[in-house]
Amino acid sequence: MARMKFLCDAERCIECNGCVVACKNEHEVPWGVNRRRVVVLDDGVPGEKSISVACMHCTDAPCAAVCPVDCFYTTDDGIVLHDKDLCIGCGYCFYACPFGAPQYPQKEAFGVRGKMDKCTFCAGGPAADNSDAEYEKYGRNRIAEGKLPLCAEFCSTKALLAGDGDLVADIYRERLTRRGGRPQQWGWDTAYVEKG
Amino acid sequence: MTIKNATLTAAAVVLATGLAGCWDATEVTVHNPGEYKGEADPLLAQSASARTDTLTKRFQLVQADR
Repeated sequence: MARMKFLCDAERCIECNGCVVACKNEHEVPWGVNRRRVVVLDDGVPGEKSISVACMHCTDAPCAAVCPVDCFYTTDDGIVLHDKDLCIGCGYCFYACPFGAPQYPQKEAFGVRGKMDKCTFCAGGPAADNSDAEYEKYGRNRIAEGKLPLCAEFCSTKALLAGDGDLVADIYRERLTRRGGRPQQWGWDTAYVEKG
Repeated sequence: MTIKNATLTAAAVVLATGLAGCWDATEVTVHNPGEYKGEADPLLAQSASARTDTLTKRFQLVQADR
């Protein structure tokens, strides 16, 4: 059984934010909500690393464990989704999530939060596939169309991979084998060693 | 207690403490979520294995290294 996972290859990510733009555009994500963002470590220092972060669709999802209204569910292939009609915007999932994935649109004055929004692995939510209701609440359902998340498909350096964890791991393992050397190495030749 | 016994005892305590530091719990804490109470997702009605082939082909087409 496939288990869908994201992986960001820090050696390849060039902080172009293409994944962020692709996500926001594909799902018409409102201002103030970032389902995906690029984090830079040691910014400006030689050897700096960037990684693209969103919901990692945890196998043992802490957001689902703490949700007081049980609005989370996991598909057979490991995609963690939620029902916005049940969500009360309490923010527990935000505190539980190690990646800061849950986002809350500001609905009214005084910081009143709306219902939680997060990466859906482009799999929509509990509404008819690619219906207007689904698109409005959760964004496009590319999985139902036989496609994978646009952020990964859009990535120009193939730093961000999304798909069956086994396939993603195979690609990353092959890259690491080709690169060799210590993990502290950096530079163009480290990320893009040609296939032999 | 002789000096030899005291030394052996101290060595045993140090060894036990050192070995205790090497031990690590391997049990995984699984936080069981509650039962989902929302609407049914049509995606859940489909078998994931039915879409695995399609998504694998898509992955090889778009994301595999060339």
